[in-house]
Amino acid sequence: MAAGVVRYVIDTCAIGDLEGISASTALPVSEIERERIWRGLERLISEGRLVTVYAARAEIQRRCPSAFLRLKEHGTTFFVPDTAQLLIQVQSVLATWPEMAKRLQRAKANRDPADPYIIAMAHSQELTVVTRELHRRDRSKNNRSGDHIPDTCEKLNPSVRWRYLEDFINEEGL
Amino acid sequence: MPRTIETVPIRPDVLKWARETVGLSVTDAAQALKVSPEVILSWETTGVGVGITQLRKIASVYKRPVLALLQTEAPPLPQLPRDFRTLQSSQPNFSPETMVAIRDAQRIQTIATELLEEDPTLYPPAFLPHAELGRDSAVEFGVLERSHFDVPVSEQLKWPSVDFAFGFWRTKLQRLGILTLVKAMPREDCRGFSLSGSSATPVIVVNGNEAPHAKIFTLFHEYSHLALGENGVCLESAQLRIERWCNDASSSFLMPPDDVRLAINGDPVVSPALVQQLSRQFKVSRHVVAIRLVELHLASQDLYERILEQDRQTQDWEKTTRDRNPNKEFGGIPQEVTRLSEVGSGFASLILNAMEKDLISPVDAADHLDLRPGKFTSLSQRIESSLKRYR
Repeated sequence: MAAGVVRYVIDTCAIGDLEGISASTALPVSEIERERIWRGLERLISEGRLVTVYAARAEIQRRCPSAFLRLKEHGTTFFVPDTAQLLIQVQSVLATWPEMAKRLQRAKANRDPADPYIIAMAHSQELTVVTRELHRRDRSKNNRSGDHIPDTCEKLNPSVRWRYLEDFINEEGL
Repeated sequence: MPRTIETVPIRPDVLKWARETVGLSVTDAAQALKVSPEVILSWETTGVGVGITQLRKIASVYKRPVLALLQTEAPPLPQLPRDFRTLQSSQPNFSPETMVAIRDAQRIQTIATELLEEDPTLYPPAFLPHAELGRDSAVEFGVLERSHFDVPVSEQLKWPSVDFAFGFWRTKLQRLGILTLVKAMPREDCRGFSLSGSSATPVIVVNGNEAPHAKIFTLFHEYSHLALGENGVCLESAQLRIERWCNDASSSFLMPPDDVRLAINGDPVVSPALVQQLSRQFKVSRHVVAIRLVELHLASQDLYERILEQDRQTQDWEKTTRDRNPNKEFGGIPQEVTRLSEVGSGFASLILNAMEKDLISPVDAADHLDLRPGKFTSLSQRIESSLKRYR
């Protein structure tokens, strides 16, 4: 990979919104535009510039089965298997994310939230996180409590770069 | 060449927390993980570096996501409901399935309570009655509550089936601000439990492995616990005074004395066939009918013993059949139907309302309901139809 090339790790809700799983949060694009964006994503995947974590595989399969059918064709090129190194990094992410730690106390078995893995992968491999979760400053007044992916990315030292899905699409010309 | 890291260090306190909170002894955990008890004890004393495969295996046995084992400090042990199953209840010893059911019910209670703190209009406020053991009569409490519920016995007798009766009573409790969940647990471990708290949303959980008439009885047994402010895990055995009180209150609620006398014209009941008939009419078990008749001096203890013996034989037969076909009944049921049956229209509508009001995202809603966002429309339609049915 040439130096200076930006590599990304994408989260589940960005995939779900691109696929238009929920009408209220779907990316406002036409079917033709959606297909064009999908092809762009697949090009980035094949170039090794867009990945996600293995924990996102089950989430995507559960929440957006149609997108999963498309993405699973890329196998481990897209769904990168866990490594011990990644899990050690996940421990550091959890230590800075008390809401996630609290949520885990009562989380269901076999329901690993992918977000800490995504941030950990970005942190250890200097990737940029692509998300549709909103930073605290962009959320409605009702919904400002708790850290989401962008807030946690900024809390880490060094901080992790992140982009909203829309900005990523524009910057990559998808 | 940089050294490849192959193991992940897991903290001893986190491992101990994960094992204890699923109700496994050191020996049970060792057996499930195919290691010696000494190994488990050593992990919990000094920690362990494990490979990814072993980490997943531990998470699976301890019924936790892998992430929960990666925490850098053990969370506090959760507060468990009191154990009302036996006289020796100082140290609760629940099965892993019951522990997981308690954990999930507590998760649902926390979500509901936090959302209602943000917007109290999402769900009806709970107004629980108050009763005191030793001061209040269980029978009078049951009769009084029955009148507050405003559901005449004449209506109850007309319901088409026991399943309808369960749906009706459950919906009624949900309309009173009580979340009612159905969770599969071993029948010999627990009939149901309740969760409350000074400002927490009250929750009743009934065992999904029980027959509908037993679930109905448990709903009001646990409702009585909530009224006493003494919630816990119950087998509804009559060993403890509080359990007897809640049994009496539930019986009295479902079969008010005057209505029972009216149903049999005040004549003593001598045949199991009549007990069966009353069970069908009131939509409660034959066992409950028999106890109620004995209490009201309308049947002999001998008749009760006969009914008990017959029921025991039926239960043994049902258990054998169920063990042969453990999951047969769940095939082909849409996901939203299964989830609605588990969390009830109360919690499901609370979450959908919170999403509508932008308090949570669709992804959060999907996680809370354990359901794909694409199923929300169908879920919403099913809630509406259920509320109409049990109006």
